[in-house]
Amino acid sequence: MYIMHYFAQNASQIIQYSLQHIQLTALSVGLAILIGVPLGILICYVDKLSKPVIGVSNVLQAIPSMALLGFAIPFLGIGIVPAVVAVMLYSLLPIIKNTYIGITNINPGTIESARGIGLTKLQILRKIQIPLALPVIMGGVRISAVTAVGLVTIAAFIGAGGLGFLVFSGIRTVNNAQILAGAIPACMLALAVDYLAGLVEKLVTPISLQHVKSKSGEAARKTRRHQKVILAIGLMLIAALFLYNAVENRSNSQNALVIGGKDFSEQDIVANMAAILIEHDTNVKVSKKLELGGTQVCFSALRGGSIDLYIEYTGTAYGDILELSGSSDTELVYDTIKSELKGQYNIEVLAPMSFNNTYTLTVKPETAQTGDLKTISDLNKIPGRLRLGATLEFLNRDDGFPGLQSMYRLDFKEIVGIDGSARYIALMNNDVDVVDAFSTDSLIKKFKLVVLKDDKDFFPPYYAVPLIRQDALEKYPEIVPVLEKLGNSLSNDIMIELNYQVDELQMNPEAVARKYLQDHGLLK
Amino acid sequence: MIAFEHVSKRFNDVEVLKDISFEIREGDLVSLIGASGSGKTTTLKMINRLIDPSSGAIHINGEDIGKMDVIKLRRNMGYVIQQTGLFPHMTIRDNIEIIPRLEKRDAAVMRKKTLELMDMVGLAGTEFLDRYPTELSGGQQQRVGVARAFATDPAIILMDEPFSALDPITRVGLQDELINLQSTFRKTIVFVTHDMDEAIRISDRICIMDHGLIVQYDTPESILRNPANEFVSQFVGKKRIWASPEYIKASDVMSTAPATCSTAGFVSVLPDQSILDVLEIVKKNRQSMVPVLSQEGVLEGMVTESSLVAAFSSQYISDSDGSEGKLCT
Repeated sequence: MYIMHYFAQNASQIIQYSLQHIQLTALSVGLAILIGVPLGILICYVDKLSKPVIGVSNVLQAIPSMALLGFAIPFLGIGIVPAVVAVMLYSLLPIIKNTYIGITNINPGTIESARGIGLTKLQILRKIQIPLALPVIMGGVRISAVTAVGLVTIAAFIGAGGLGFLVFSGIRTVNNAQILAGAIPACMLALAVDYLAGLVEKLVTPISLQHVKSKSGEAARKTRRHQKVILAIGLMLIAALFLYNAVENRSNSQNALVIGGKDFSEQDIVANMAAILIEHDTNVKVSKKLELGGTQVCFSALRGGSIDLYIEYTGTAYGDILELSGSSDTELVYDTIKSELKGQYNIEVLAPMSFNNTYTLTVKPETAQTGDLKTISDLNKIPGRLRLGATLEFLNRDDGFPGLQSMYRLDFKEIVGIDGSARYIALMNNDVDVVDAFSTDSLIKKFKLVVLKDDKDFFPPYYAVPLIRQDALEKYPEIVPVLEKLGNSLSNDIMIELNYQVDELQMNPEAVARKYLQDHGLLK
Repeated sequence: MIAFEHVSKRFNDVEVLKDISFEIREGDLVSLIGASGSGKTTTLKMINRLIDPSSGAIHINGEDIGKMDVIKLRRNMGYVIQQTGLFPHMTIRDNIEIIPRLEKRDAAVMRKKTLELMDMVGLAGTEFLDRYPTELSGGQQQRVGVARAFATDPAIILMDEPFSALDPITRVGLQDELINLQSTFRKTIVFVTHDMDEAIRISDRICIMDHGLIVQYDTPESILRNPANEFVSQFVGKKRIWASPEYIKASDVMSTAPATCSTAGFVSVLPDQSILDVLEIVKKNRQSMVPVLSQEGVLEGMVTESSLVAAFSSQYISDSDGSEGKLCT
């Protein structure tokens, strides 16, 4: 029931994401056809190329999609372009392979007959080979299209939108209704795509080569007419979608400040606050590209110009972007990143906001009690017994686990990489005993976790700080005081509360942001 | 006229044709026959340049086809192969009209011509033209194949074992039709087959090939009567001539033992008349023997009951004594 309620309440959002999803799928598969079919034909003629081409597309297929998307960011930025490119690369293999198989499997007698009666190579291709191979080619397109619907879901990871957005934010906030709001339409979409592609496959199969032959000629022709009508409607809908989006994009994206954000609630809330306040206080237009993934994604996007501004944390910029080893000196960290980011990347660091979202390690109250754990050093009282569940980013950054490890010499029985809020569930299910957490994380409150004190002051300060491209700053200098005003009004307690509203009360981040600004008199 | 001049073909060091030279006269139906690997199909495919010779040249009416535009050359030649020759995704009409359409012939003329062609091969146009090849029987498909070969009204038609996948009754029917068509249109037809009966039935000339060489190129009759060597007689089959009695002559079966009786009152035959004529006379006139007289009226021999029995028995009993063996060489 709760799910139905969620669907009803967010219908327009779900539809919007579904439309985006359809667009991304159509675009990727369309490109894959444009590239894959000619390639498939080419390797039929140039036999030497067939092995390398199919080999490369096999390899592409085997690369984990997350890796391919991540790899694409430095070259293609974030958003629709890299997503479409990645999904297209995945869609190539079935199309190339089926084109090749479809053409090479044509009875050689048929081709020789065509040559013998005087068709040119091109005429043989156009009139004999392609029509005869088309059902097989379409079979490949069908596989690609259905797979692409699934892959586009992952594309939300780099801010391409689509139904994956709902799935990811649902997973992050443990909101099953939201997960289903992304997953169910995605499934239906896959079924619809399969059905439409199946229709095309049937339509391009000559009547004489279809397996079912029970129907009389007239009945078969009637069925064909119906199929053609359904297909035409489907294609028209997709075309209308593209047109609609083209018009909307035009009115939307012109001359706007693009605010990015990482994929957790706090980022959503603060980015929304910044967007609302900037649009309220100045004449600057803002567009948002939120839920972009981790630091690497956001910073690459900022450097590449896909976004103009996002909220980073001082310690993250220091340890992760500048690759400096941890320092717990707040001033030093801030001064360093300000001058270094400016010098190295031409990115301006604005004044820090007044909340510090640093890393912590947390355990369940029972664990804390039985092991008498209060600080991180206390973990060494029971070496080799506890299991750590931490985000992949935490496990990989110098100011995360590797640095922590070298300072505290911790001894875990097992270390498991689990992203997002899934690690809290793992903790509750006793699959792990210790998880990393952020000090403003609402889930600490929800699960009543015990925060282990960083008694050796290892973790650097993680004050929220807006990073902005130099060119954007020059273009919109009026936003600086707005962001300062916003930053000064926030605090750790406020952030835990706001995060709690989004994560636990399932409130919309934008609504939470707006309500906070209104309640604190920042919006008039 | 198609002339092969010292044509050789090698595929990766395997010589499949070894310096062959022969001519196909205009209006002749010539069968190329031989076992698999004899080079017969290679020879045929050289005529429309599906295969190019390694050395030597082929001339059509004095023109070297190696220097002609290959597409033009092929479009001016009919080409019929086994069922696979029809394009399965096209209707019968599309199959027949594919080349005329590419040549942008007038649509109305084309439609009329297509109906005529269907008529010619004995298929009802209205019934079949909008069907697909798979909806036709093997024999009907092959008729369509023949119709397509005639569509551009070519002077030369190449046929590569067109009837070999058909059942014997259908095959014989189609052979008869081909003979009829040929008597009407007098095309130059080159016909590849591995079936000696078929070759004898339909051909003006037969070209027997073996291991890339022409073993004998002659009329069916000469080949039956005078096989060039042991290979040909093996290939043709020793008793084959009995399947074609029109080629057995009175001189083949007559007894040349000294005859003393008078020939007056008997209907006689010439030495070259076939055994069928002899049998006709025997049946009609109830004669016990038929004298064989030369053009000049000189008695050459006598076909008697015993000479017939002796000749016929050689069909079933091996010719160990050789006395009546001349048919069986």
